[in-house]
Amino acid sequence: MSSVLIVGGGVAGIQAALDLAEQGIEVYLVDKAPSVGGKMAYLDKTFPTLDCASCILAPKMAALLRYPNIKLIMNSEVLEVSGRAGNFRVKILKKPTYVDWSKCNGCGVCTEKCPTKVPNEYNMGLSQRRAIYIMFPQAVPKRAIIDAEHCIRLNPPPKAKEKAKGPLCGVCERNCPTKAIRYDQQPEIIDLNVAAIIIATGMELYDPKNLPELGYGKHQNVYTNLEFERLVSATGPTNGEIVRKSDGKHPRKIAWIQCVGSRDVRFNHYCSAYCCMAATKQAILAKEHLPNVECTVYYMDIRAFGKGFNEFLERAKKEFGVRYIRGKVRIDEIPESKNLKIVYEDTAESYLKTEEYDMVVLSMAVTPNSKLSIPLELAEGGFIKLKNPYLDPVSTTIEGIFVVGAVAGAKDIPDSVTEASAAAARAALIAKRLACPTPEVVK
Amino acid sequence: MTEPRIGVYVCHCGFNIAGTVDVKKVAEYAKTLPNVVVARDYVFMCSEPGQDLIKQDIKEHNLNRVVVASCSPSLHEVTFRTAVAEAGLNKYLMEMANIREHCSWVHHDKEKATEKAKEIVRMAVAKARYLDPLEELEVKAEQSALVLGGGVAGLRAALELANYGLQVYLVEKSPTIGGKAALIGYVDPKTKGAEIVSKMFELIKECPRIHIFTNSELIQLSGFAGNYTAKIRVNPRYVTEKCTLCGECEEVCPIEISNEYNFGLNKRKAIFLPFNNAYPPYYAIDHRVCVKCGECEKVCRFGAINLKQEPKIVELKVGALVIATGYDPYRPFKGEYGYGLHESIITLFQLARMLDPESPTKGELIIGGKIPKSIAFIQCVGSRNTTPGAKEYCSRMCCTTAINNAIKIKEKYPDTNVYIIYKDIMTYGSDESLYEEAGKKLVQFVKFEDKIPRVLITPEGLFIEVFEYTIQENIRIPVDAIVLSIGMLPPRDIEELIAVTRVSCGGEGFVREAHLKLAPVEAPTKGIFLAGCITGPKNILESIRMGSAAAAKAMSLLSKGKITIEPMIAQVNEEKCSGCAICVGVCPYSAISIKNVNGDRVAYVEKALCMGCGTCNAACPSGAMQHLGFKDVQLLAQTRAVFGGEVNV
Repeated sequence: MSSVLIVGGGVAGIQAALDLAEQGIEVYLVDKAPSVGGKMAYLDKTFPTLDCASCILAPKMAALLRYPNIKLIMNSEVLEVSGRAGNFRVKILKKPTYVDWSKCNGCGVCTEKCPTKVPNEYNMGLSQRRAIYIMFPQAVPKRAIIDAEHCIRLNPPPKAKEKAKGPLCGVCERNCPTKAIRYDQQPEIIDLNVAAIIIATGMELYDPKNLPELGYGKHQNVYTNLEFERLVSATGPTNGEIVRKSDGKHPRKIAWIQCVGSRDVRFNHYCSAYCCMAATKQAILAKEHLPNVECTVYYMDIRAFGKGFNEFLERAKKEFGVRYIRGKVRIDEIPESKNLKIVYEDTAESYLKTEEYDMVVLSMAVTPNSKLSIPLELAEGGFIKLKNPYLDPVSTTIEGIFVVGAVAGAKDIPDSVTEASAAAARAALIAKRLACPTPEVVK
Repeated sequence: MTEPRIGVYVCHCGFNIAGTVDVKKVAEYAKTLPNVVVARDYVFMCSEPGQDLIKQDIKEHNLNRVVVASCSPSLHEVTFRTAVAEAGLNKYLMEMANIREHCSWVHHDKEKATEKAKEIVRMAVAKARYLDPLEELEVKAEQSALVLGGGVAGLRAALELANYGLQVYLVEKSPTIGGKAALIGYVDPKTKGAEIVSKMFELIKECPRIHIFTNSELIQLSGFAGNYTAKIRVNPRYVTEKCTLCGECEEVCPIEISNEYNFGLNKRKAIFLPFNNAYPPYYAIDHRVCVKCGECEKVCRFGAINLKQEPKIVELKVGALVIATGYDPYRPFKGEYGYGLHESIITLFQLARMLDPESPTKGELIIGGKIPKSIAFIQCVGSRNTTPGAKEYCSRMCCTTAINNAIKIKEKYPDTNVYIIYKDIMTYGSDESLYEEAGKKLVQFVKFEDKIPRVLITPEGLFIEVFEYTIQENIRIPVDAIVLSIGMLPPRDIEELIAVTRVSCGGEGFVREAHLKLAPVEAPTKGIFLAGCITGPKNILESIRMGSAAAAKAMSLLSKGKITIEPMIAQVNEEKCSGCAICVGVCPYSAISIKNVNGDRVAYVEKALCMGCGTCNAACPSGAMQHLGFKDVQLLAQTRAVFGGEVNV
């Protein structure tokens, strides 16, 4: 029996790994980040059940560690794939973490002592982390990593370097109780032989700066929905306190703007599928945190298509008083108050209106992480193309390589998890070298 | 019993617990409890360093009991059990105190919440003193699976499982496999449902391990994950493999009823072939309407008809069950948007079927005897609370299906005006491209909000009156035909499914998953998996993928050839048992029977069948029935602890 490579350690990759490992198949799970978890690890709650995201994800992440046949290859990327179904040869670049992970126990002493502060990506830059850091508190594996670009030792400021006689800083090395710091760690190439590959590289948010009319990056109190997710999260930069960037005050009126970069002929034609319900959820969360806040969602169509979604939407309207207005918007900042003036066409009345808000959240389009070193064909929107989804589910244009989750099309968590299990079934047949007739393509 | 040495571990869960509970105080308090040797707090107990703390303490302090005060055991019990096992302790010597869901999340007053957390910990410690080591049981797992439902989801699951090497029994209640996908025409602009299904039939035929039972239903399921016994009733087809599909029988059959395989677009006989590529490829007699006149038997030259066939009961041993029994289309009541009052008011399923070249109209759009010059789709019929009979949920597939068929109409009949009257267009993901294309093809979209459209049947023809939302005006659209975009309902026989398999349903009527987000293809009962629309509306692709996904879960369950059974189950103290059999009656899993031990009647628990629900435990009048995870002595200790009494029993 042979092994399976999974590229991407988000919820889809994790699920595929667990399903395969349970069958005794050896799994290599590669992620470019230092921890598994993917985008779901950034979320506060999930729609429509309002389950705490990390509470339901963390047990799955922890489960990865219980299988001796799952090998986590973090901070790494796939360089090259050759061969064919049943026998792929894979080259993986493991980038240095500058910490010996076999020694590091995630105690976090180094992250407290390190003198260099940089914006924390996990909190979307809304808080700071140190140059040596653990990606987030429930990281799996929970290991420290040095951000070489910002580390004084690894990338000393030129002037300081001139003055200093020996190497600079070294605080983490001196304080590490397990002597795990390795400033001289080098990139490593890992060669693997695998029977099948599952691509689960997920998505990123579209760049909101491409829509200058919304003022993201210029107007302080305009947030992306992922930033808002961190802001509302108990593990976020404000411990769940919703406050404005400009003055630290609670907002009284928040607006969500839907279809930012999606369903827009200028940018992406597709619908991003998750954002209507995500905005509805965020509006409910805002109401739970700040009972007097007024929440308004500007939309084109409210897509409440999944199980429990329409019920959730009705609850948002009736129980929480969330207002939905159908119309496209422009956002201007009021310089004195840093409040935001939304100019919109209320399509119900075909009338241009304006309304003032304290905070605006942009429901961002997703873009697939499909720039891979594997020559897979792409479909419209840059998503990885499915060869023949009706008869050969989750298969890419290369036999033995499967694709799941948002990199194969914008989708939500349950659909991603379902696809992950589907891919696990199909990859298992190859890994266990069982008869698997390749069906003909429907024309 | 050796003296308990207990370690208590209080989790901050970031701010989830520490925000409302003073975790340091709770840990300090725990140190004062009897038998507690060590107590600590940590930011995330479930993280690797958190688990390592526990493991180290077990070794250093020679702990023999562990209490973790954190979240619900449904989340991390396995994590902590594994951790204590790795440190060499029996994993059932770990007790969880839920100070998150039961405390920090539901309170605001930090002082009082801290006091409550202390009490919860005190109770857990009291119970922990009486924990016993337990051993897991192992039973053999059957290398076979039962797939209920022969639609695309069931077929896909069957294919994966059979390829994996398992024997697969595919049980379908109608005379052919293929489900609704075979009937609904074009599923995307280029692909016909019938083609997908035919290709799947080819694969199924090549698979010797797939055993197909058509005209069949599951009538009884007993046993447990890995070891189910399924009773299947195979209803007679009355037509044997000798059938050559000549069709002469059909001509002589005097009974004619509405043809459900064409969604009522035409009639069929009591002896019929569901559709051209139906599989197995034989005629069938519909026993519900057949009068057994014998005409078909007389005319059949091949002796393929046997009206004396009787139902058969087949018993199967299977390790897992995949439920893929699909959905029923919404049934509009008479008069709902004029349904049933005018021949030109049809459903989306009828329209989609009609546009299939193999339909009664050979793919032509003929409604009420003519090609409509103007046709309107009304969306959300039966969905999203539009009418009093409608469901609250969105049926997910109807917008895309309506638009896909609208495009087909525009391609074939460019001069026909097509309107889609909608609330919100739900072409999510890449289906948005169809919406765009429909716009380019000049399909006209008319939006309504709370006021639903009215269908007017007048001597001048059909009209739709609707308050158009974007122009805020009442408009009246003259149309030749109206298509009601009906949604999906749980299948008619879902009650029987629930009775036999003991799955449960959500408020909307579909089968409930183990977890809506993260376990979408598993039923809460181990060994039962779900695929396709039985859990709620889906499109064909999603249903197919769910078939593969459900198969993956069954593979995982059965791959080791054996199943581990949790030892947290009921046990009889035979000396105390009076043999009253109250437990036998209350057990929902039929796990208890009465046996004779040296002339005494005593209860006997079949370990593999016991699910550990505790019902017998509570019902037993003599205290003979004990739940190994919740013994009376443990629960009493907990109860005393909460009221501040003696911790000793």
